Amino acid sequence: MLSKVMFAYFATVFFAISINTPKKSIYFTGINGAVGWLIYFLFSYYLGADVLGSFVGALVVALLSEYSARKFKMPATVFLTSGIIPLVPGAGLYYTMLELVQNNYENAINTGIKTIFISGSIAVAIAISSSIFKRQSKSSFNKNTNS
Amino acid sequence: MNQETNNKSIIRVAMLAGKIMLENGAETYRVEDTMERICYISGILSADTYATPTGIFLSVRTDTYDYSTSIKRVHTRTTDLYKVNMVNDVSRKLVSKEISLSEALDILENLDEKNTLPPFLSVSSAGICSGIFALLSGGSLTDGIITAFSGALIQFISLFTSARNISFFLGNMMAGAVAAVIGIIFSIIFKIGNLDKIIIGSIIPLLPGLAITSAIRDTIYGDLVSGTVRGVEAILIAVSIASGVGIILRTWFIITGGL
Repeated sequence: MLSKVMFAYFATVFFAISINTPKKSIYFTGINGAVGWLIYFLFSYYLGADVLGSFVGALVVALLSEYSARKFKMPATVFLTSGIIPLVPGAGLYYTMLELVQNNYENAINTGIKTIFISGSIAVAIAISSSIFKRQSKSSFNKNTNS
Repeated sequence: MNQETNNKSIIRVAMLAGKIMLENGAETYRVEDTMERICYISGILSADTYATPTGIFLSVRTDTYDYSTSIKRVHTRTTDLYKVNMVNDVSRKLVSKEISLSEALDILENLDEKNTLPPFLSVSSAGICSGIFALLSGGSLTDGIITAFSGALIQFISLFTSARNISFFLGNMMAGAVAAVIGIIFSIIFKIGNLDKIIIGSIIPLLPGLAITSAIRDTIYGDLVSGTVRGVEAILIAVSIASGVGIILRTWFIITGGL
């Protein structure tokens, strides 16, 4: 499991490099990705709860991103985009297609719905954390504009 | 500097900052927010900005009855978070008066022109990312090495098609098809590596992670138009990758009659 966490860390880091993430944020981005993936893995391996695992993992990644955005004074997207990459259901997308092209429609629908739910849970997690941090940033901005 | 040239250069800096951010993958609200902050640094009575993923509008009131408005259409959309961060930095320094307007304009123009990420680095790091993903999803070392090559090739195709103004749908479909072709060649014809792991790893850098993130964040921050547009973009990207993979696999199954 430790080696897999390392894989998640380096996969996130190299993905971050490929979209030109600022250098000083890269190592933290990797930690984000690894933590998110570890949570997902623990949930799906011990509880069999893929969707819940993706949700909790993505929520932690999103909250960590908002925290590090304030710490490093960088946009939260810098950390978030790469951080959720280990959670994005690429395998689900592929297996759905694989079942479809073999005419196994029932399996395809099962896998497809699961994939949609996992993407949806990531989206909801990002929505929650953005909503929490939104109020703070907007109100501090309105103070000094007085338009 | 008199007031009028000052106002003009503020508008110029704000528009350029907005354009660079929008082209390189910033969320809509951040583009609007940055432009407004820049506008309010001196002498402008009120500023309104409106950004969508395809263009920006800026209208400022410089005097009681004097408005000026500018529009910028944005055609290219890539992902370069370094540039987004740099513009963020410039606007932060501009607001806290650490740099002057003309210095900001110089930095932004320089940033707009240069290509901050060498294509070689992008291609190789995407390849390594794919390779590690194959290992993460349970593949062997052989899978990892094959996937690294195929991931690099796919990133190259992705950069090449976007540089040639080929639509992202066709570009992603071609990339997905290449992933499937490489998977079939190695795993079925040469019998080394695992088909599933190779394809899954290769398509990871293409997945619409940024599009999903921006779509949700735009919607939450009240930019419903941009949120919807980016959501549709995310779905289309996923569909195009899946259909690229699917077409090749289906053709192969029809020719050979199964796995």
